[in-house]
Amino acid sequence: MTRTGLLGIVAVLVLVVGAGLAIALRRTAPKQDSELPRPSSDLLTPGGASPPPGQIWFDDVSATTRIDFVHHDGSTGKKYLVEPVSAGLALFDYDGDGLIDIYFLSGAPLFPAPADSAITNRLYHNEGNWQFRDVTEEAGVGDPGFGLGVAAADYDNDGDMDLLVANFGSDVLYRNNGDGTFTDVSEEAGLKGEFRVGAGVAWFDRDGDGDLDLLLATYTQFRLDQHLPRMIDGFPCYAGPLDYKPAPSILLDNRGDGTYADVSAEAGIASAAGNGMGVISADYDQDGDADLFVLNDEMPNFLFENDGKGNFQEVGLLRGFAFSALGKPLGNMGVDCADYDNDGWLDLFVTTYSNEMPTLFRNRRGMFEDATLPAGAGTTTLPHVKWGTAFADFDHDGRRDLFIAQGHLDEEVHRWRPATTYRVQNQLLRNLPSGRFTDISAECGPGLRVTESSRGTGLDDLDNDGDVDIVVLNIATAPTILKNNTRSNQRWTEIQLVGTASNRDGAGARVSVAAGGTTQWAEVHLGRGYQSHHGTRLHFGLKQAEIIDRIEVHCLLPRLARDAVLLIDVHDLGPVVGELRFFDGCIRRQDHEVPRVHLMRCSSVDADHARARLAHHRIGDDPIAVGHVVNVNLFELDDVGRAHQVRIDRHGALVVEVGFGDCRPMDLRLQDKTLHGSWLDSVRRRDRKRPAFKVGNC
Amino acid sequence: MSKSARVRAKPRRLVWLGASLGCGLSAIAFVVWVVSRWFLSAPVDPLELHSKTSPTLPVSTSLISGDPSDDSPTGRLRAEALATAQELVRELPQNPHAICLLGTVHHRNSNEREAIRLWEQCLAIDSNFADAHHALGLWALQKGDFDLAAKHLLQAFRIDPNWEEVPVPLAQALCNQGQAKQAIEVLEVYARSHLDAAEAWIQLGRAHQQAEQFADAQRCFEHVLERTPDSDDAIYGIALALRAQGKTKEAQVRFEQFWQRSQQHDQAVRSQRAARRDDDRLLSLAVQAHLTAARVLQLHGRAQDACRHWERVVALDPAERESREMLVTLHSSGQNWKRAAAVQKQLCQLTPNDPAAWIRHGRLSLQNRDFAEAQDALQRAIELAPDRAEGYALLAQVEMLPGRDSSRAVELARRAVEADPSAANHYILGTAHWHAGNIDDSRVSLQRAVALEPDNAEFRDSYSQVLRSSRP
Repeated sequence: MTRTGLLGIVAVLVLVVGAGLAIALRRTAPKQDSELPRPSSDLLTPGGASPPPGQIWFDDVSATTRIDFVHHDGSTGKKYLVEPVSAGLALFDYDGDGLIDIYFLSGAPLFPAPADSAITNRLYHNEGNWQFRDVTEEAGVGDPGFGLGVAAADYDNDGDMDLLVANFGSDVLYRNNGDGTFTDVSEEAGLKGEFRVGAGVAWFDRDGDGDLDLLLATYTQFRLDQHLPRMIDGFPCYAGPLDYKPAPSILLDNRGDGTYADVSAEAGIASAAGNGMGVISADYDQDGDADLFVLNDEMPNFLFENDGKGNFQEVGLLRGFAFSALGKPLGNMGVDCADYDNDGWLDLFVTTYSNEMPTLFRNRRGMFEDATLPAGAGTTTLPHVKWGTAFADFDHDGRRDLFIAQGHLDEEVHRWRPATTYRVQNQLLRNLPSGRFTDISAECGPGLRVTESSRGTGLDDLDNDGDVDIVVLNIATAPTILKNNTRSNQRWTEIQLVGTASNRDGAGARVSVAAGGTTQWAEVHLGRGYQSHHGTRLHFGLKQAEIIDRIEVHCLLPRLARDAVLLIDVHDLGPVVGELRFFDGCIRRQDHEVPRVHLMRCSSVDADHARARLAHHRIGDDPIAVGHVVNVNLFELDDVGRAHQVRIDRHGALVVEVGFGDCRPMDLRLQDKTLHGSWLDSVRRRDRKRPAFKVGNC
Repeated sequence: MSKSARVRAKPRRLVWLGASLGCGLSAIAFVVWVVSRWFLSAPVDPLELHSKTSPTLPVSTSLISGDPSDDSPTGRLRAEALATAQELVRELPQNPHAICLLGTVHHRNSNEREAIRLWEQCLAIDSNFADAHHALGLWALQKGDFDLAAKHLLQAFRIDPNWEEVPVPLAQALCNQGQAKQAIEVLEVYARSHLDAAEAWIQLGRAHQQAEQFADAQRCFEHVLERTPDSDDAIYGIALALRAQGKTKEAQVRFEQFWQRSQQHDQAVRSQRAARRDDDRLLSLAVQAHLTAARVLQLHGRAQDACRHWERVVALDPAERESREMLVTLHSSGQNWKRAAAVQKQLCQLTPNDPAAWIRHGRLSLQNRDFAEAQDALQRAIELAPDRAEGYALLAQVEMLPGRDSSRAVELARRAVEADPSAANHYILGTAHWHAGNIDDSRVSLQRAVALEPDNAEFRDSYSQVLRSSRP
């Protein structure tokens, strides 16, 4: 070697060592306090980054929540069909403390038969302040079955939410005892025993009798002894649903006595066999009854239209929901339903398999059109397998954005399909004013940089700060908990319906909120996404609106009237007969602060019934203590309706119980918060006089 | 036509090219060589043949996904595809087709980075190399990078606007970006000059649908349905377009038609899945590698090497036609009638309703003096196309052989003349009459043949002979 060559090597070595030392020193030397910015505590994110104002921002707080759940997919290397499709999750308030709890499903060892009870579904109680506690054992919901789908609902209308778990095996119904514990009532409810490949679950009231019925999707007819080993390019892979026979969904009718009867055949559900995955119940045609959507993997989707009496006809093809614009069956997985374009009609977003576009079904007055490409909804997800999905207004701009969970089935997929991998990042699509969606995942903070193979997804306001957080179940590993740290001064409201005449969860009720020149609609769904449950409490972003002009609640009350409408005009200062209450921005449950009441008023006028007598009551600006009943007979509507009670519950939420005719009252629970300004001031500035509180056709 | 377009040329063009080559001395020499090496060998297992055909390059195991010592069928196919591509690059290191093929093989083996490097290397050699733009465009499309996909595919479209594999993915990339109107512009250019390109017309319909031009969409789908009445895509597209135009009842009829068909489709898909082989994709990759190698080598005048790859395709893929058609042409030009007839018989089995294939097989069997085979083939051709003269004429010649039915030969030759009263057919009829002892009829027919082609010496000689025989 020449001298020049040696000198060159030495020089390079010196440079490399020097650079390494410099980097090491830079990493190890702590910054002086004076150098560090001091963000306000409520804006400081775990990653240390401060989100730019207005930017949707999520931080991954999984490591600090004390959630130690690890999903088990039961894999043994044999690649059984059900291994990669587990599982969904449920976000619901099981103990009624106002904080959303989390129930994770898990797979289980498939062969030999499950013996290790340590692998079970897990329930985590929300302790507040982003701390969760494993209460599986004390709650008694540690089902060791191979979990696939789940949904929560108060099926016995006793005021607490029960759980239905769909397994690869037999389904499990947990009745909430109301004391933080559950009882497995599967057998006495008539559910126990049937072995099937469970999938999505939806609770809904098919015939308007006030009891929640059940739709259980079935993935396929599969048993372990029917397993087909498959290979691609010499690599073992999972068989697909078309390798096995399809199966119809199951419709269980709530008899009202705590038991269920299988009415699949007589109600028309059994007429169509498919490869069911995600399901959702929604009144897509606004005819006042609950219709059913069943997604089929590699088969046309089903839309079961309700005839108003609880009988169904499959109309997916004619209504444009069976296929995307391509007219080919796709690997349909998860589904969510929302009015993304604020036209008053519920649209659906469907996730699909790898190398397939997801499908945004835009609802045009009861007919669906594939708006995926015009809206750019999820086109960048094309290479990946998509699972859980949900609409939510993450930044309160009045438009619902989209979250999509992704990840392939096969760990080795990169060996034969280089366009994707087993673990990928999830995606967040922002709904733009132009009506198009755009992928903003890269700008949403560290939460969207998590790379896992995700499945079920749940969205709700876990810390009651008014914005929507995200929980993602990742297969064969720990879940991801994402805290919404969007810095926004935009307003929001959350509405939880509590039915008394109809089903207590308000399933199927449609709520509209008019504010700032925009009217948004939402519907209460029990069971959605990828075989999951979330979002019972409806969330609305209000932009900068200082006043909610109107809230309408359209209930599924067929016994009374098809178009029963509870309409609340909030700002009208005309004939005030009651008051709705709004809070300022001081709701902090962890401080046990009683929110101060600025203004609460309800006004009522029945446009169709001149006999409606308006009573006038003014509470004033005095704070109301939690649990205090304001006025039992706040206003009367004679035979039209009756306000039974207006009260503040222990979480600071307003509860208005309104009765319709001779029926039991229904609760309307409102909760709101503004970050700036006073509702009282803003409301008082308005001087419009028009009918406000209306109950029609009752 | 560009060089890349020539390599991608359709089988007919390659057949023509092969025939031209076959006329040359080089082809004769090549056939002799191939005969000596391969033709007399017994059929071999497709996966064993590789060790004979391409043992030259060691497989670069570091570039292959999976176990390097994988001796499974899929492992061997993977290695064969890579070895074929690498060998081609070694032989023609600056040839963009060879480099592009290697990139494709790497891509299929999930060596994405290397694939992109090679495709970009192709463009560095020739920036107008459409195949590389196409490959990069498809890769970007799969990755969901529609902007990049549209850029490369548009470039490929500009370079070779008649390449049928470009307009549809290009339109998809544009539509996926919400640029339906640009997609329509591209597709209209192509579809107007390719009326039978069903896929392009379907995509054009979808782009119109996306642009809410529903009447135009309907017209596109109907255009396809006129040519292919069983097109599910067209039926569904029409249904959607009708519904969007408010023609609900007409739409419902189409939806029901589509539904019936989709039920059958579901059954078919399930059956296909049950029959699917796990190595199908790698088999297809190996076939693609050999096909590309054969085409490139053929274009470079290296017919001997090309033939090796054509043969390998035949061994690997029992349904591939291009390689068989090329081999028939090459064997025929080398007068290896036996091998040519054997390959042509495979083609007949692949397209059993093609009378031209059977006639060709009959002709080759005649050359091979396998008269029974020829008779069967020509009889089949006549059954399939009773109005075509060629089958009758050839079969008449079979029947004229010693010991066969010369009166049937006359009947067949007469049918040939009825179907096509050409000089050649009159000549065959005259000859048949001669063999049947109908000297006067023979004279009349030969006279017509000579009248139609007075310069044909063979006709004149035969006619003179008949005249001499008919004199008292």
